[in-house]
Amino acid sequence: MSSKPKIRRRTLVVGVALGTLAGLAWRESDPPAPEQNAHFEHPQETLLAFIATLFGHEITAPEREDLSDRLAPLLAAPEFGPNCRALAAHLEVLTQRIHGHEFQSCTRTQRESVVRQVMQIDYRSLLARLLDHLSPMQHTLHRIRWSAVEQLMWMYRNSSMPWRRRGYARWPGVAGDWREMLVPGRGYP
Amino acid sequence: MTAETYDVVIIGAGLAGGLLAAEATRRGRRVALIEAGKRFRFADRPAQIRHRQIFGGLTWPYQHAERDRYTDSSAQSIGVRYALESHRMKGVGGSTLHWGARISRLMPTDFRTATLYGQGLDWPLTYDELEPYYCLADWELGVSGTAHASLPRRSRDYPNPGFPLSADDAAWLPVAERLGHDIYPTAFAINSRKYGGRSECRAFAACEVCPSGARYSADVHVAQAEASGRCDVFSETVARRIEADSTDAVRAVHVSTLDHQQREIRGTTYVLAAHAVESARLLLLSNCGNHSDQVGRNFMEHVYVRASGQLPGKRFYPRRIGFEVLESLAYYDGAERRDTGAIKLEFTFEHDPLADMDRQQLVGDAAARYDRENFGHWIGMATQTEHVPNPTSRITLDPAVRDLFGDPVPHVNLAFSDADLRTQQRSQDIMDQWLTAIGARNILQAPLSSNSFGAHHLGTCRMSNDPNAGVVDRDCKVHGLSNLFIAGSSVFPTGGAMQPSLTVAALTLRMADHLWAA
Repeated sequence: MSSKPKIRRRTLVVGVALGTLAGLAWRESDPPAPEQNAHFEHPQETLLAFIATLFGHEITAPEREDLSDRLAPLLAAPEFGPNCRALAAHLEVLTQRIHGHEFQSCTRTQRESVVRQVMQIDYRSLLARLLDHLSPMQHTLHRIRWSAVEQLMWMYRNSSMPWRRRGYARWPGVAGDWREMLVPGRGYP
Repeated sequence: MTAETYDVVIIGAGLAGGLLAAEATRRGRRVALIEAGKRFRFADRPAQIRHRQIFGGLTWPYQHAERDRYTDSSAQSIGVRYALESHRMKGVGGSTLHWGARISRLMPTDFRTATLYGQGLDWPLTYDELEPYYCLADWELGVSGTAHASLPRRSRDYPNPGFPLSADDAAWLPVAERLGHDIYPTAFAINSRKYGGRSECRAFAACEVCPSGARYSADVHVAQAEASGRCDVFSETVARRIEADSTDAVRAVHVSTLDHQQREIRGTTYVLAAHAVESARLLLLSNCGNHSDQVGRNFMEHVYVRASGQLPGKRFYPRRIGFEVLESLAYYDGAERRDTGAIKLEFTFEHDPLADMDRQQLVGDAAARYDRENFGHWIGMATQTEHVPNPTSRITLDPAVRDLFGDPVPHVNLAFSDADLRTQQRSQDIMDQWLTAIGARNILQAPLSSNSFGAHHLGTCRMSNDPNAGVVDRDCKVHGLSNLFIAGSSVFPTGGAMQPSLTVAALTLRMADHLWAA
């Protein structure tokens, strides 16, 4: 017989939680629309700088060429391009807000602090997943962290860049001689 | 409806179907080869690699959402969903378009597990009967291998020299010696030298596509069949029903193209070579060969159990070719096989620290340092484990879900027995022993719930001379039908812990001899 008050209490708790979520969603429902900024029509340089910062090294000329060749189709793809542009825009907005200038013009330390913020975007918790449906801002952050960052990490891993750094003269997708495996290779230069 | 007549109608243009088509045309037979998937152009392979490197996802764009629907209840049985879409390949060339090309023969004991170990069902064939066909299969596929005492008896050399142990592999040799076990370089259907009009391996390290063509794929045999002028290939054409007449003979196969054009194709002999899932499904849809309720049962896979460990003082060079060479049969047979399945060990060096980056939340110098300290400093092992036949592990029809043509889709329920779980647990113990012996730190055992599969679909139309225990006889003819045969791994009564493709090829060549010996 005591179950009715319990149910009422639960209903109240769920109602308050939903109300809070709706409030948060409303408060965040008007995010900046950085993708529309003319500056972000060409996000390639920002994204290259993001990759270099994330993985901790400067990009050489041949690496820039290789990564640019890979970024171009990614940006052109309807399922990935908008998310990557949103990431570039988010990086620029954050950098302007925190450091007062463009992402590429920042010092390495400044860039790392911004990239760290991006990497720490919560997209896995229950709250983050709920807000993803309620808040356009959270949805954009989710797209940035889950789709764009993951995609760029995958692209980087499969590019020439990490392999060169590890001392490899060629990498998956580039032909060689299978007999190379018979002798030890060269370690990190 | 149009009617055409062939000497043999083959459903499925993968390894079994493609090889049988080539063999039939060599013997002057006229062949219809029906394939649900499309043709892929060899020249597109570099672009396929590039696409995957940028976008990820599946290397081969082989899915057709409406055609390839299925349902799956494996999660209730084994805790994980069985992702059929990434474990099979529909296309001219079938699963050999994306396979690893590791070549193994079943061990002689695999043909007699019921007698020797009280598990599964004995094959109605012996290893010795199949051995000459294993040799023929080696030469058809262009296998590169090295004979070794651990491996079953062979009556003919491999056509190509084997790939030797790599400089990295050598790290395991003293460990194997200390543990008292043999390890050997395995064989591959990858050319170590030019063979069969195909290039030698060019070490692209992107074996899931192989842009050099050094790795065998069955489109090679389909091309040979077509070049004879005696084979018509019907690609993107789905076999929907096998029609038998009152004399217990198949009279036609009814097919539909993706744009819903229907036709029937007739032949003297019919061979179903559509892999374990679709072969069973087509028999069930057609109400053929299932008088003993065996069709679809005993669906088996090879579970891979994985472990790795860190060797900070050693430097390895992973991914210089796209395949690992070393393996061991030290735990394959023996008294333990009464309680567990067979286990084959494979040794790997794959470990990409960058794949951990997300979890580690590392940025900048910390990320670079993590890669430097980990890349090439990990050593890995995997066991391929036997899945003991289990009638509840099965393919059925799901009448609630329909495909492009309105036919019930296959329902997958991959199920394990206690023996399978013991095999997987034993695998972990074995790998822990080896990794400890080599001095690895931070040994990581992948949880059993995250085990991967070999993409080897076995069983569902198993072979037995007893019509009540199997679907086909020792010649792979469907019990109760005079002119319907099944080729491929669906006829395996047991699967051991060996890659099945060479056995598929050997059984197919044996079938060709049976059908057209004269």
